[in-house]
Amino acid sequence: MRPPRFRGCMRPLGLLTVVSALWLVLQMNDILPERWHVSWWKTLMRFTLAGYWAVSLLGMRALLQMERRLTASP
Amino acid sequence: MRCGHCIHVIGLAGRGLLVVELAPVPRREPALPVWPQARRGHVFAAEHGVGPIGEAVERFEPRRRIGDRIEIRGRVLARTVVLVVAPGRVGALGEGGALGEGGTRHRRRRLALRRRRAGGESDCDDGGKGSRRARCRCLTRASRQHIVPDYTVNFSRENDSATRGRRARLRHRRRSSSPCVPPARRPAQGFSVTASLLADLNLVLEALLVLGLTIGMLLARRGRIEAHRVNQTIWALVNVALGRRRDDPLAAEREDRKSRRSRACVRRGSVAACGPSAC
Repeated sequence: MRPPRFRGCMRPLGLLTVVSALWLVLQMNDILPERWHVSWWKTLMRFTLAGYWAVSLLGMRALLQMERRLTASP
Repeated sequence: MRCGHCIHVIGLAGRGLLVVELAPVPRREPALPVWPQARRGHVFAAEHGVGPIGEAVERFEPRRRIGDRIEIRGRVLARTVVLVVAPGRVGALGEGGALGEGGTRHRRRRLALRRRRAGGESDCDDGGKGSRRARCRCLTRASRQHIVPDYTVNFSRENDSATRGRRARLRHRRRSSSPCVPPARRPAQGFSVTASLLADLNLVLEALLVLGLTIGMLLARRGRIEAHRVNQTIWALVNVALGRRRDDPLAAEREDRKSRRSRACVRRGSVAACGPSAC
């Protein structure tokens, strides 16, 4: 059974999304040091939300493909 | 070994005169179609009138033999090595069965009766081996094929992802009215085929998380910045907690491919480990 073709991009995308979300949360709650604050946080927020949506949709697609392959006759 | 035992012995691997295979087992009306295969000299057609099969003394091949600790899965003690494959189920002698299209009803009935008698005489109905026979019987006749040999006895089949996937395929393919439905022993099955209950819950929570983050974005656009901050913080922490307990749905597939590759290595070595107590 071959894995889905887009599997390679899922892991770094999810990792980047989680890291950027954590960065934003820490920055906005003033836990991160001042010099580590990014000035383009609004863009980072948009990319983070887009990343969450992409990871979710790609995960659903991978799951559906796996189910289709498993339920199909070999 | 009779055909009613639901076990079709293809080859014996070992050294010594005691493991020489003199004839196809069972000798006639086998449950599996076995045809000649290239580079596998010890497999011949087990049909009527077929004489001795196999080499005089089968032995481990010089290369790709079982010598790897991963392949033998910790079975380091020397035991009898037998290649056993699961035949088709007993009750479905209908379309395309072992008797083929030309099999008469009388002949099918006779064969079924003989198999039942042989099954009653079998002494492998105790404990976990009874479930092995039940699993053998659940294979539909239409999908009659070499499923996968029972390689080991001690190896836990419930934890084998390849076995889980194969069982899921069989569950999907078999008829609902089949009288030989084995009980599914999967411990925690989710609502999807591929993943466990935990992975499915994780998936639902991820969908909720995305929705929550989107609602948080709407809060920010309406000017409720404090509510937006609290909302996004909560969902980001939930995401981190979910990520620590993530059950990768593709991990089962990777394990499946790994175990299949190791089985292919074992098969190329023309040997499969199955203890004498298995049958």
